[in-house]
Amino acid sequence: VNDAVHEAVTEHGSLADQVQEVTLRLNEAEANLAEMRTQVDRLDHDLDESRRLNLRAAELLDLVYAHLTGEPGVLGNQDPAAAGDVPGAALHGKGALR
Amino acid sequence: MSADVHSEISTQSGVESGTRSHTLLADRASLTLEGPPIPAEAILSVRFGDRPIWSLRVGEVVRPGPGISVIDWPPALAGRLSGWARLTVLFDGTPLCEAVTVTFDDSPHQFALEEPGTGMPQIVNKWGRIARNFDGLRAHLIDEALDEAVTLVEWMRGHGHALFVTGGTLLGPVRDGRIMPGDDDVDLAYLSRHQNPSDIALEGFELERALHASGYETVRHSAGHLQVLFPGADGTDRFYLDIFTYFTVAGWFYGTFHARERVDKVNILPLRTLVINGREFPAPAQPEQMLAAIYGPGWRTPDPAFRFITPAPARRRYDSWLGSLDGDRENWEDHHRELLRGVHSGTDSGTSPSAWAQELTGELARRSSILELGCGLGADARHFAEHGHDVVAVDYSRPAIESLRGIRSESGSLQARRVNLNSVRETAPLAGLVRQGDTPLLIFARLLLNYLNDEGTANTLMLVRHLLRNRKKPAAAYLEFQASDFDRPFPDSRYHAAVDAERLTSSLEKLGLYGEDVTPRPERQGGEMAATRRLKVRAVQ
Repeated sequence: VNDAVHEAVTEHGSLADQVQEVTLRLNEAEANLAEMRTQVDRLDHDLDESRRLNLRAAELLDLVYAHLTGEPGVLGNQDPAAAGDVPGAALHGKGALR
Repeated sequence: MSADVHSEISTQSGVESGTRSHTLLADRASLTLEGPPIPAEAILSVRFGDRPIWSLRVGEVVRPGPGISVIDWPPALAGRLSGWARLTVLFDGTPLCEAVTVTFDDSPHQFALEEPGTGMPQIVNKWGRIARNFDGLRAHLIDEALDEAVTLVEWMRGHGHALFVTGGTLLGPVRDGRIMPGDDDVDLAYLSRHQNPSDIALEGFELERALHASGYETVRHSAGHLQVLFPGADGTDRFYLDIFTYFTVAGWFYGTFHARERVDKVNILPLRTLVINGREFPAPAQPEQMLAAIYGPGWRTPDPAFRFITPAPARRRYDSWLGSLDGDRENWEDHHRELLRGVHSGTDSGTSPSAWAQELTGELARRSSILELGCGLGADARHFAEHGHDVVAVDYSRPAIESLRGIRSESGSLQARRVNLNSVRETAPLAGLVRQGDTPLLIFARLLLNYLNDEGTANTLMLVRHLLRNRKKPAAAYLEFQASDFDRPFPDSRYHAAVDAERLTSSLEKLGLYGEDVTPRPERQGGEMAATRRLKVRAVQ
């Protein structure tokens, strides 16, 4: 009987160690997960920023194309009356803003 | 909703059409239905008098409570409610409650949701905006729109793009064999030949310039959504044609501005022919697939409360790939139209120059050049011009800019231009002003930064930088903004935000600019204390 008790106590002791080990690993995994989440958030943010800058680059490239080809650009057709409303103005003249 | 579904709902909840199982209460904030719970999937129709004003899905709008269901009015509608109205709510076409007379405030008039000035009947549309209701009123317009669409399809074919019908213009004919009642625009799309978002955007920009060169007037909502406008004589749009850029990226189909599906689930090519109101239009090879991608698997069942709820993965990509240019423009345009019709009066009616413009007038050098950003109806711009200065005034509101055209000043000058400051393509060309004139330059922007998105703010500050740092004559920017929370400027306004003054200062410093506070003072706006800040910005020498 004594052997059986000793065995049970030893087993329980082993179980406690195992629980402690598992707890440590869980804590470690939790920390790793939190770190990875932070990294994913940062990468997501970087990706969005990269996409935004790609769009910005396309917009600027379009401006350059319009300028180099002498096209009026996106504002070109909007209003025949926009330029030269009033005579004698320093800012006047067709294409003053182009 | 089908009869079966309705029957099921009724059985589950005890709510039955025709039984008037609820009692209605309402005020300016909300509408309350006392009675059994109403199932989340039920669609209710709110009527003012005999007019349906708003369709809503219970699960998306209703706040359930013990024995009550509370429905907050959409902000755009809440801001208008006045006087009294006879209200009822319909469930599946039959009254859920007895009609009751509700008093919103002390005004003796019966409330009518009508466009101020014109009296056109209005409704709350699927975007939550107050919009004209075209049901039965302008049926002929859809034929005019379809005729223009036929012309545009041909024009696009000549420019290498195969347009096809999509969205509502595809849904009605495929589901019901006809255009949907009340539809007054035409949805068209082309499939981009590119698969890189930057190239897709560039392709759309090139198309936009070609449309302009052919005399079309457009408004761009994003790099993938262009609207071709057909203005009417009253300053509003008779109708418009939407051109959406559809594209595929990395095995996914994107149907701007909502759909995102695996590419093998949406077959577009080869296009087929669909007859709509007697006219032949190109349509996707598998229209059912396209409609499922846009409206979901339930697209065959009419849903008066339908609204787009775009999943986050799609929303994120559309936002970052294509941007968003046109947030509140239509609401500002409607507001400006109301002001121009004289619906409102007083200091906020846009007709009187601001205190700051009047103060500055006395300080300006003779015949200064002035650039006003976000000029609205242009009271300040006119004031500056009338005092002998040469003014360029820009805004993205078309009625505002139209109202300034042709205004002449004996002593100064005024140019009004439609510029969307959220778009760098429209903002950057204003830097050309640096070469115009040989006089001091003043950039004036009142309460502009509170209404721009992040891109718009960045574009504006970059423009200010170039003008201030490169102008040979003295140059300064005068910026006024609200630095803490403030009330919306008009009921339909959807976007406004306080400016973070520290962040703004930091942004200016990074651009080689510095700002000095000018007469900071608290102002009372709409009953709330709000800090109005003024900055005079100059280039660091």
